[in-house]
Amino acid sequence: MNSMIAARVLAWRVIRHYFSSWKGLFIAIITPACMLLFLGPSIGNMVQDVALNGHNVGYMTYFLPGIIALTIFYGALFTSGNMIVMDRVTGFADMIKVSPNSAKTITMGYVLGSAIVGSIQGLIFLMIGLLFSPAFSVSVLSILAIAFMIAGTAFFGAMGFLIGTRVSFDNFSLIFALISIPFVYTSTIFVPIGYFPTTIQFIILINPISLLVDLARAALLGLSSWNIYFSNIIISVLLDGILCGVLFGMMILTCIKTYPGFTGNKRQRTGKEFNKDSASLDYDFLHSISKEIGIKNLEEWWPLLKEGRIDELLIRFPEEKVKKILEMVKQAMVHEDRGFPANDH
Amino acid sequence: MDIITASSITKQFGALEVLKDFSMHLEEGTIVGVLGVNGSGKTTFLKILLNLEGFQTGTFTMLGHNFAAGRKHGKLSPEIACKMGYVPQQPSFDEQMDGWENLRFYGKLYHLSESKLNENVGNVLQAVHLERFGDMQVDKYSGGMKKRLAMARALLVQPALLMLDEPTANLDPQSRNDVWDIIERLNKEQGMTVLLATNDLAEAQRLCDDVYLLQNGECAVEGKPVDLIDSLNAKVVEFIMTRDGSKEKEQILDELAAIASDASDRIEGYMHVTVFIPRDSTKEEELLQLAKNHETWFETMTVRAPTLEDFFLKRVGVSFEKRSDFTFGTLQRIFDKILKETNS
Repeated sequence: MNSMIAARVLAWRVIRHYFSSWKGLFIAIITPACMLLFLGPSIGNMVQDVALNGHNVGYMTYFLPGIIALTIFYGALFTSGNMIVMDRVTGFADMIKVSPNSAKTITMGYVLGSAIVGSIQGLIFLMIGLLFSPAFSVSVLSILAIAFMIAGTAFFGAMGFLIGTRVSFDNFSLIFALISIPFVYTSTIFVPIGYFPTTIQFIILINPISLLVDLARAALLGLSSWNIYFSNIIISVLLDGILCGVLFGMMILTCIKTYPGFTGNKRQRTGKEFNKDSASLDYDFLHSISKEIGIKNLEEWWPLLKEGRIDELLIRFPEEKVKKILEMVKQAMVHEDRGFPANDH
Repeated sequence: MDIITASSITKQFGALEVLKDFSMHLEEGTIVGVLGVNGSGKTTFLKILLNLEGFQTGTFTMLGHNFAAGRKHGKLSPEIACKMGYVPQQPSFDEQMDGWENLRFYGKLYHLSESKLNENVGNVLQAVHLERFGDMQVDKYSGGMKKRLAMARALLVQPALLMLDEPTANLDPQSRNDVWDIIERLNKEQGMTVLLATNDLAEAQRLCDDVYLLQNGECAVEGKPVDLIDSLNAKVVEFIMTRDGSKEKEQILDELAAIASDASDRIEGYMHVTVFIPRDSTKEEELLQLAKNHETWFETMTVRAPTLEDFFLKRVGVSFEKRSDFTFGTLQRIFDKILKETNS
């Protein structure tokens, strides 16, 4: 019961954060909105109809479930990932960590919050989508498909959490793009499954975004991409749902199991920030120099510099790197408030 | 009863030894300070206790639970976590929420019931004199207010052990005093046990029953501030000089040292000289005469009782103001040498 309350309050914070910032909303909605308003209708003018399960449907009708899936994907993935990265940077993650809650509770809190955010966004576009899908009717199939979509949304929320606990603030955008782009472009958002090479069709279908798209298409149009293998729509929805559930289960277990990675404020500060920040110089600072100059371990250069073993430093590293180390440390030295770690620590 | 007993804790980051064989104990109802310059391992020690960091050797017992080296760091058990309040060096809050909301959020994470939460939030805000600012968004709080809010957050769960990591760093004198008053009150009136990591010796002297000085990751000195200061058996005479850097100044300083009992009794800073004389001696009169003889060289002369800072200056040779000796002198020399070599 207590853990439920803690997970709920963590989830509430994620939701509140998301909706209290117009930036988050804007970023999440701008891409699908552009697709809905510009890309979809333009492609629709070019290709007219798309063949799906032996039916010809208008491109916008085809494309809309894809936009819903895309909205959910970005909403859930970015919300949890961004939140946890920021919490690590500010040290708030440590405060949550020292609370009497299990890794499971904390993970579930973040994932639940981001899943709700993703679902609300998806729902907004689903409502818009109904304008393009006059055939939509509430049925057991559509309710089932929408319910399964929540599992898919939670999968992406958990995935965002896992990325957020693993990467630094500096690398978050890059890693986020590196992971999201292949997911998006190897899915059935833009192109029907029949247009992909036969050899990769199965992989495309089990892409988690394709599963979401398929569930959205099943809910809105009663059609599924699985029909290249079998034509029963209920089995298709069940298969999508089971796969979403399994993927979510695997992802959440990974998050919980790797939870200690969440600890430690792995903040990375840029050179610019050293001078602005009057906080005490600590090993974060030295580690960030290491990172900046591309030497993985601090102990490779700091003990040498500290003990004045310049010859060794110059033998080990190119002159340029040594100069850069000097510049960065010296830059910090001129800052009055800056203290240095004592001789050994 | 000991709340914390740590023995032979060693912590390494790769080849860097942050803590070496560090042992300490903290009795119930006392305030113990872990002192040291920046990077001396104070925060790391606190993080080890909080289970935010692992450690390589040693053991510690905290609130009746044993912890051994090599365990996987991660989460403290709920039973211990509920008894601990932690104020980090840089307090972090959800800045989109106001003070009340932040505390309520935190209280819910600590599983406080709604009625308890309402009661405690009001009480802790009052305890840290923030009751009028509870509904102000935290990003509008000053540094001092954030520190006090962090104290309020730590107190919300009525902890048996309060861990404070440099609670007054970067605060103005008034805010600093306010925080000290709060800590003192908690300890004296409620008997709260406090572990304080600080590099502020005035803070340690005022608040701590016992201090441990960490130097290069090792415990250099341990004892009660009063006893440590008393062991100096000295009075302190401070001179502020009007100018610096000539042979005449050197001569004057030598005369000062000759009046004091030995060379180590004179500590020199830029335009600033501190002389230790035996507590029951009348050497200040000789020093005053010397100052009068060279009056153009002296701005002020002050005789005062020694402080914890004086103890560390004299006995350990650590100036917390100057931070580590390594700070500018050593590094600057290394830099000059490296720059010369790399340029040649």
